[in-house]
Amino acid sequence: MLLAREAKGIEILYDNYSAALYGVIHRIIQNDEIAEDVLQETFLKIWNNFGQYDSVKGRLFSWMINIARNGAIDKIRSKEFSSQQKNQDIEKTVFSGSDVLNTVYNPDTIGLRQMVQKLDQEYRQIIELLFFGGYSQSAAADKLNIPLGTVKTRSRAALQKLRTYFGKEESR
Amino acid sequence: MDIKEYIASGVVELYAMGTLSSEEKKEFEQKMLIYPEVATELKIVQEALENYVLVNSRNPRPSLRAEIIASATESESDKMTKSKVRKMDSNHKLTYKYLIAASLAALLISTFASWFFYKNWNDAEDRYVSALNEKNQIALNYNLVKNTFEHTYSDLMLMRDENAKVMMLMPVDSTKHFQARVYWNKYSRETYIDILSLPDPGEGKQYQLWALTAGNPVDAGIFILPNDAGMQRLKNIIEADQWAVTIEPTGGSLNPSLDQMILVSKNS
Repeated sequence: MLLAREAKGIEILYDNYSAALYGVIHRIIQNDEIAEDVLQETFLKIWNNFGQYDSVKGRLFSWMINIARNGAIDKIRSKEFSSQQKNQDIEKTVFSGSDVLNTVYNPDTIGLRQMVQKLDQEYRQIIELLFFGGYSQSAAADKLNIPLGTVKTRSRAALQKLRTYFGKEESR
Repeated sequence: MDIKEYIASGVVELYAMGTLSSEEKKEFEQKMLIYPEVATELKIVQEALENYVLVNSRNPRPSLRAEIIASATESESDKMTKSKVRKMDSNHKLTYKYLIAASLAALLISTFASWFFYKNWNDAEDRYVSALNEKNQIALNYNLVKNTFEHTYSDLMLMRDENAKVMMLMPVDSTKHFQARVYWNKYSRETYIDILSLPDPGEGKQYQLWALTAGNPVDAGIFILPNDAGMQRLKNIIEADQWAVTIEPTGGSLNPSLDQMILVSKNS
C-alpha cells in the first residue's frame, strides 16, 4: 500500500519535471547515457531528500533544478567522467547559441523559444557559464575578460531581461 | 548597505544560479529571513530561471521513465528493509549476548553434570562388577552344594529303597582292613559300589566288580578309586548271590583273576 503510493508520487514527479531536469542535465553533460544516469540520481536525490526542502530558501522547482544542476556539474568534474569523456568544452555549448535552441522539444515552450533567441549574446553567455557551466564569479570574469563587479551586474541584467520575456508570457 | 542596493547588486540572481560562495550564501539567507523583499525578489528571479530551464526542456528516452520509477521505488523499499534489518541487528547483538551467556552457563552445568554422573557411573560400575562376582561365586557355590546334595540325596534314596540290598565286601586277606559296600536293586537291576577303604591297585591295574551266581562270575564293571566318598554306578546285574572285587589289567577282564581277589561278600 505504502509502496504503491510512493510509486504514484514518483510518477507524478517524473511526468512533471523529467523533461526540464533532463534539459538542464543534458546541457551540462552533453552525453545521452551519462545524462540519463544523472537524471536517475537526481530523481533519487529529490525523492529521498524531499523532507529537506525548505520553502523559505526558494521555490520547489528551483530546488529540484539545483539538485539536477549540481549533480551534473559534479559528474563532469569527476574522474569517472573525464576518463569517459574528453571533457567537452563547456564553451562549445555556451557559445553555440543555435545548439541550445535545437535541444528544445517541449511544445509548450516553443513560443518562448523565439523570445529567448532574442536574448543578447552577452546575457546568454553569463547564464550559461554561471548556471550551466558551474563557473565561479571570478572564473567567469576571467573567461569573459570582464571585471568581477560586471559579472554581478550582467547577471542581474540578464535575468531582468528573461523576466520581461516570461513576464509577458505569464500575463498572456 | 541599503537593502534595495543589495538586491540591485545582482546577488539574488547569483544566488538563484548557485554561484555564490558559501559565505555570501549564508549572508544572503540571513538577509532573506530579515527582509521579505529579498525573498520576494528571489522568487521572481527563480521563476525567470525556471522558465529559462523549461524552454530548454529535453524529453529523455521514453523507456527511462519506468527504469527511474522502478529504481526509486526499489530504493524506497531498500530503506525500509534496511531500517528493519538494523533493528534486527541490534536485537541480534543482545540476543547473541544472552545466547553466549546461556551457552556458557549450560556448558558449565553440563561439564559438572558430566563429571558427577561419570563419577557415579564409575562407582556404580565398580559395585556392579563386585556384585556380579559375588553373584557368580554364590551361583558356583550353589551349584556345588546342589550337586553334592543331589549326589547325596540319590545315594540316600538308593539306600532307603526297600528293594535295595546292601552287601558288605570284606577283605580276602583278613589281616588287611579293606572294605566296600555294594548296593543292588534286584528289580531295577541297578548296581552301586561304595568304597570304604581300598589301596591303590597299582600301575596299569583297575578294580573290577563281579556278580557271582552259584559260583559263576558275571562282569559288573570296572571302577576307580574316587576322590570323594560318593558311590559309583556300575553295570546292571540281573541276578547275584555273592559279590567279589579283583584287581585286573586296565580295561578289565572277561574272567576274574581269582588269585587277585581282594574283597568278597558273604554268600547270601
